[in-house]
Amino acid sequence: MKIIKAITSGFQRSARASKQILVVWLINTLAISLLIVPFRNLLVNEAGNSMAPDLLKGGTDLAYWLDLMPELSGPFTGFMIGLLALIGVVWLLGVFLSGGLFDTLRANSCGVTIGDFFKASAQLFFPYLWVTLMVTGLIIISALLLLAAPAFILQGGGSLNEELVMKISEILRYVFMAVLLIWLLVADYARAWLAAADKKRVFRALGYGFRATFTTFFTSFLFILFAVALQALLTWGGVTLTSGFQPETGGGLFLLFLLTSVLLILRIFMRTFRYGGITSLYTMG
Amino acid sequence: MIYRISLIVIVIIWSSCINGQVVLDEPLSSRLTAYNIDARLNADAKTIHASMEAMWVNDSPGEVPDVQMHLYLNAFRSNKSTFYLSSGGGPGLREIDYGYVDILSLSDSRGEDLIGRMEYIQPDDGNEHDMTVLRVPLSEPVQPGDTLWLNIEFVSKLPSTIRRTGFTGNFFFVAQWFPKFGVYENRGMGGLETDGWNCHQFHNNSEFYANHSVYNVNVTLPAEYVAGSGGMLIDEQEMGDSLKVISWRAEDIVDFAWTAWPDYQVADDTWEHVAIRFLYPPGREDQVERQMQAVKNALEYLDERVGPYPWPHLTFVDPPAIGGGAGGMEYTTIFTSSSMTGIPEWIHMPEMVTVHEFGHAYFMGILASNEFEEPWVDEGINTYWETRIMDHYWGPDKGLVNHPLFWLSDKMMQRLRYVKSPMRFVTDNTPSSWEYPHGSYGMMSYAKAAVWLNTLEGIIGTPVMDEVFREYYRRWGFSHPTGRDFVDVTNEVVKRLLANSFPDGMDWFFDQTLYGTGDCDYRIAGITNHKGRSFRGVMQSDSGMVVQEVKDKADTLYYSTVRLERMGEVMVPLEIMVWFDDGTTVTREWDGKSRYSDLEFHGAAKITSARIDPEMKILMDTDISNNSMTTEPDHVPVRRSVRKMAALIHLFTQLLTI
Repeated sequence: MKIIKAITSGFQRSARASKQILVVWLINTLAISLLIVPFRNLLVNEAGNSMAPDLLKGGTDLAYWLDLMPELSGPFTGFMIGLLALIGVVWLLGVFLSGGLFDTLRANSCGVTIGDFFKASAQLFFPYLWVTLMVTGLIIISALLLLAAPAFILQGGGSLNEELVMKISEILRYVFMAVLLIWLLVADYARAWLAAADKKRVFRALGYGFRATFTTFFTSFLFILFAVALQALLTWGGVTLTSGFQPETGGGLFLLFLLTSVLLILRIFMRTFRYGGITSLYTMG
Repeated sequence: MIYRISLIVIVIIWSSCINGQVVLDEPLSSRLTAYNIDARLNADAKTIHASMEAMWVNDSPGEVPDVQMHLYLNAFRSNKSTFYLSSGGGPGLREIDYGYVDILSLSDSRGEDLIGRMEYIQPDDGNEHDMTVLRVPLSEPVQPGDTLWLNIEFVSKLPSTIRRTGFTGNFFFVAQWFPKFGVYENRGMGGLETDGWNCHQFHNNSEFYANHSVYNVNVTLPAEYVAGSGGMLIDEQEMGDSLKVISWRAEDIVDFAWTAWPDYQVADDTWEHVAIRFLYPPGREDQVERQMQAVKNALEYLDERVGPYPWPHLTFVDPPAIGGGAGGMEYTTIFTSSSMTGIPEWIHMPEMVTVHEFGHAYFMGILASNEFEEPWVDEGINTYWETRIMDHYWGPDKGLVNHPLFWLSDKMMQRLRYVKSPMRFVTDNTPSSWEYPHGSYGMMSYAKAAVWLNTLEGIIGTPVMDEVFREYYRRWGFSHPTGRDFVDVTNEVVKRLLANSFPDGMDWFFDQTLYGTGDCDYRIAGITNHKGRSFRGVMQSDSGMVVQEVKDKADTLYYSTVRLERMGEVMVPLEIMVWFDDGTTVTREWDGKSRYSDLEFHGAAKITSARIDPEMKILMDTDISNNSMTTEPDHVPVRRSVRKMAALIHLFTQLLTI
């Protein structure tokens, strides 16, 4: 029953935070536009009056990009550096805005203003940053141990049975996914605790995160499995739609923009739903 | 006397065994060399102990005072071998890492011990540490038409780092493992002025050159091993002590390689008269069907367009990850591919490797060119055929990558390797393989040659190109063609079939490509559309000079021009396609010789677009973005790509936000 309540409450809470979700989407879109718009203009200028972009009609002939690569090596290098910086910025923005989201979800009311949202984001930024850094570190270590190690062992040679290594790798991939969900639960419980706590103590929050995760393991795990599965489904849908839709006109391009925006908003909604469900479980104790 | 008679009887019996037909109905080559080898694999010591009877026929008009043989495995004897001096690094640190051939005894058919006469020579670089070429002065020269018989007992130690040959754990790929005759070339072959041995050292950037031979090979190895070779399986017998003996025979191939590994899985199939065996590691069952299909496609395509694949057997190997260094190599009737479990079907790299390595059965297997001295003749020609096969069977424009959303042709990939390389000017295609400067060997001998061969096909047409290769096969199959022989065949066929277009043949093309270093780049410098004008001017009249206007239809017409420029040095004939705003198109030809040319049009429609080489026949054009111009550029495809990129970046950053 608890899980049903968590799912229902998660949806309700995130629906009430729709304004904040739109703000998150807008901020991310603006940040990405800072890199993408100049890059798009550069490519359009580079194409000039050539018919070479015909190679991109109906899909992408990689020859077009590979052919341009040397001419665009400077801009591409700049783009890649910009992309890395952008990923860092968007990641920090994510940490920042998740504070506001957790706070809004805890309030469980439509009355949280955008001002309150940003205020909570600012207040919770550093504790959330620490929690996120530590949990991200745990995720990276788990990935290295569970995903990369078999590849290194295989590369190392010897008389290892390749088939066995492949099977072990596959099993370890599932183990990693389970471990990942556990780390997400720890992070989410810790952040829900921090949003409600008067004193923002990071290690106490993490301690609570671990305790809550394992004391309510069955319910929490099933919930986060459901929430992450929905997120993954939307991501898959987003990638499929984005890749598969091949508009040939300006109007089509605008439609592509609309569709991808809706999908991205839904993707943010699903993350907020996860936060909301965990906040609900936290509130239920 | 009795001794002499018995010796003659033995030689006759052995000779008939060598020359007897087991695999093929008739000999395909002159079979100047043959080898009978009894070998025993020591799987623990990583050695092969063998006794070998080797035969070489002197078909030159002069007597030959010595014999030269390759001892390729000696490249792994030290870090100062020519192989390692050019590649860097060394065989390893442990004793087990090194590779070598140790000759234990060497005698001729009269039993004369030749071991004291052995000397190592270094014809390419004088590197005294290199022991990959053995010279043995004979006590009596071999007379024209006579046969030299050698009995050799040797131990081959395989290297641990597989560079085409070697071992890892209990995986063995055994190639270049026995003392092998060089090729005695007669005066006139490839422009030679004197007879002599062609026996080069083993270089990092070189492959091989050998006579078509007959091989009878018996290998004793642990019974649990699964083995395959370039020969036809004659017999396999258990012999106690957990050992077995496998007997193979191969006819008219230029090298004999074999492989053994206990874990090999075996898949058998046939294509017409050819029994195909595929050895692969456990867990790669998903690769079997696609690899088999790839090899059948290559067989079909080359059989139809070049000439028949004559052998009834073919073995190919997908080495396990631990033996990855053996992947992508060819020994005519056995070759190695390279794949991985789970490679998506839209990535055709495994198929490409299979098609390429199989193709070498023709280009250096049947047409046994000198890979040391003219690598383009096998690698370049073979890569050219690889691009044709890949793009034919896996889709035009999609030979290498064929995802529903993005794709890449093999032909274009080879073009990019060449046109985007800053080293494309450093030399032409004539250096020996180890003499290509600045690390340009791979790009020049594979990619550049494939690209200019594709360009040649674009100029003379596919049917004529196919006829060139059929004639090349007919004339030079099972002998040793040179690059010049290929050029001569091309000229002859082109003069015969395209007498009107190219009465003097194609030397003008080869001079610029095979023997040249120039770039090929044409561009459209501009498109202009001017409206015609009715006359308006001052004219003399009875009352003096007056302004007059003569109305005609000129102002309803356009005077349009496409401005063409040749940016590079290479000159080739081109087609230019022009689109008009009334929907019509016109295709014009240009000989491409002058630095510029203006195509002029006069009519009711104006030009909207123009494209040089609309069918991409001139693959060696280094910049295709300047080959076209339009007055109405369509930026939607670029904007769409960027829009998608933005959405995917957005999704990716969402994944990173926990």
